[in-house]
Amino acid sequence: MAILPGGGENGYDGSVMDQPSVDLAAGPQPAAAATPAPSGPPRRVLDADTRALLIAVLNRLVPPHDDLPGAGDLGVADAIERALAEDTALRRTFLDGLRAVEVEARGFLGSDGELQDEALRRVEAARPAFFAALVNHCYRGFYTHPRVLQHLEATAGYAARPPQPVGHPLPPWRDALLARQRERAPFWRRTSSAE
Amino acid sequence: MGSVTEMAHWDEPDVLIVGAGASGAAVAWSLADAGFKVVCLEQGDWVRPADQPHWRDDWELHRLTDFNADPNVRKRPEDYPVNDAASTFTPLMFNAVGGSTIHWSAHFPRYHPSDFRVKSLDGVGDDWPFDYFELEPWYDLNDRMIGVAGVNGDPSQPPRSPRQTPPLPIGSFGERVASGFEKLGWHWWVSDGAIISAPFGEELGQAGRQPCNYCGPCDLGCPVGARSSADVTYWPMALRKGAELRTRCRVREITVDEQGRARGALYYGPDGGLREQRAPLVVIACNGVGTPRLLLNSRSRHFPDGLANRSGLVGKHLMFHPFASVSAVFDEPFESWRGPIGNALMCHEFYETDLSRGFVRGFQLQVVRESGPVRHAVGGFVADPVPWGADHHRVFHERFGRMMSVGVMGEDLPETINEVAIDPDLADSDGIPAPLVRYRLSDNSKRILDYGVARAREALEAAGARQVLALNPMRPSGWHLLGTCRMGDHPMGSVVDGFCRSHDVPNLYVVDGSVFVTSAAVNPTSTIQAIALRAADHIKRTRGR
Repeated sequence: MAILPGGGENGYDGSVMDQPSVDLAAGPQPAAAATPAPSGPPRRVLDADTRALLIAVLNRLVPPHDDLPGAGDLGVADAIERALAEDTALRRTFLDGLRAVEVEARGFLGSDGELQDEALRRVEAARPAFFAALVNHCYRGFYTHPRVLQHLEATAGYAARPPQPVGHPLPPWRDALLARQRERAPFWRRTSSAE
Repeated sequence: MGSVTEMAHWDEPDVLIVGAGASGAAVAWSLADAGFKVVCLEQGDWVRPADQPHWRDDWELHRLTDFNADPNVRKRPEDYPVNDAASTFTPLMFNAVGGSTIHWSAHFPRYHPSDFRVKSLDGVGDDWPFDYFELEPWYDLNDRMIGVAGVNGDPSQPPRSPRQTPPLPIGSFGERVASGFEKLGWHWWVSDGAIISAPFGEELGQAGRQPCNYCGPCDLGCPVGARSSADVTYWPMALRKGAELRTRCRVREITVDEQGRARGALYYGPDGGLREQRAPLVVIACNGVGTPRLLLNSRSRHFPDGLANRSGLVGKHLMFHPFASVSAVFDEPFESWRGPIGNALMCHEFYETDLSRGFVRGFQLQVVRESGPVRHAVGGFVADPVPWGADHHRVFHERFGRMMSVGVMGEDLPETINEVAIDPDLADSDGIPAPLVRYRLSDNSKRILDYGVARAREALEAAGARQVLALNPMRPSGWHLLGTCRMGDHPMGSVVDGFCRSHDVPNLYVVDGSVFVTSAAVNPTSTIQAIALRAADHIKRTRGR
């Protein structure tokens, strides 16, 4: 597996560490102005081949659905690369794991879908920690992507906006729900001092 | 040690409080309101509304990173690491003004009367130095000061004073789960929540609090001030009464004078410099892990085994609440992301001892909500991720908004083998030795959880669940840190007396969950704050003399 030019043992050259991070202190902002997780400044820590492999793997983990592309084609690899740029141990885990995927599939990109999934299942069994992290980060990126949130709004009624400032209104409490419970005699356990 | 800046004598407050969380804030307000000059040192900072994740599209990612409840994951500069490799449960906490009430679901039940008489009633644990009815006035005071949503009449509890705002709505999902309890003839009741459902607090000096708009993730904060966390309730009131709160001040040890009385605290200020703040009376409020850590790190000629530790019990008897999660998937959409994550309803049908069940003491079932799409995908309360691959979207849509969870929260019993000690190698960023937590689940607790998971499954199936998933035990559930400086009447069997005063050091108080004798089987914050307010009233009477 190729690594970035000038890379250290994990193929990371350190140059992207100076990218600005998201400024949480910027304050409450309308949803449109907030930085969606899967976008933001690119942070490249994977070479082109590894990146193409990751994108193909992500497309198998969360495949296309309705009008949504698979997780890889949606750009989830960008979010994962940002996470890998900030966490050396995670980066090592991913690079080793992706190398294993390539070995298991004997060329992942050239395999058909069934064979790709079989290779992924073998890696999942052999490297459970890597695979759990891969799936977890795939879901993090996919389910914070604006297109996916808009899809959930259309299909499940989930408002494609942050929790605040609008909230998620609920009809008020109905005390009639407790009618049967209120008929029950007090059954809390008495103590001597309560007699 | 390097140079230490000593505060001039005239600068001494009447009381020094270490820790600005649920209990420290309550004591700060109570004493400042009575005219005491109060200084509080807090290692964290204010969490401003604007800094909370709720305004951002990627809000769910913060639950997994910088707002995670586990300090070992969060790794903020103000956090200290905890070695929990030898513990069944991960201790969870937040270090900020408001302490762990910042990442708090605010479920706000009271202990039952029987919880204070465990030894007398069931022959296990120990009795408390006071009973429920002695503590009740401070429960009521605390509710009036911070604002609690709920409704009276619960037959599983003694009658109580009126709640400050109406109950939080339970939504169609809560009604569905309640129908399961009703079918089985079991108890359920809408949860008391330390979350206001109507305007509250303005007249108390808690400016700007908004009623809950049911946005969901209370565990990440509450930027509208609906949740009655200490930073929006007691702290504004305490500061108006002249209390001084110094943030980013991390206490290394409590110092003692020639007579073995507490003299003050050595702490690192925001500039990294080491200072000593002296005071005639010191109150420790650092939670059930942080408090024993601080006392065990405070060694001196008078206290070679740690301050206030002549009993050898500082750090011993650590209790969490044994916890398991049971999640159900239903056919119809409930939009179960609507409403406070931890506050819907509870079942206390199995709260009291019935030995025919195979264990002593009992448990509550706490019905909670799932959250946003990321949390659904990665597995929610049962940590069961949606499968990857061809089935992914089908399973995700079966679960999303149609899933709800029941927490099985058992009573923990005090055991000396469960403890907080000092790790020989691990330290925080100031070099202060970090805590080492040893905890293993007892056989009684395992039987409680197994039985409780079966009952939760029964209730969810009675409610019509199509699928039930369980996680037993649930490791990241150490929200409640209790028992490590237990109270009692006898200096050899306890660390503090019934008013939270150290048996060994008369001008030292511990007011957090450390002082709990037993754990009960409900969330402890209302009881922590009631006990802290009662201790503050004792301080007003005695001034540590």
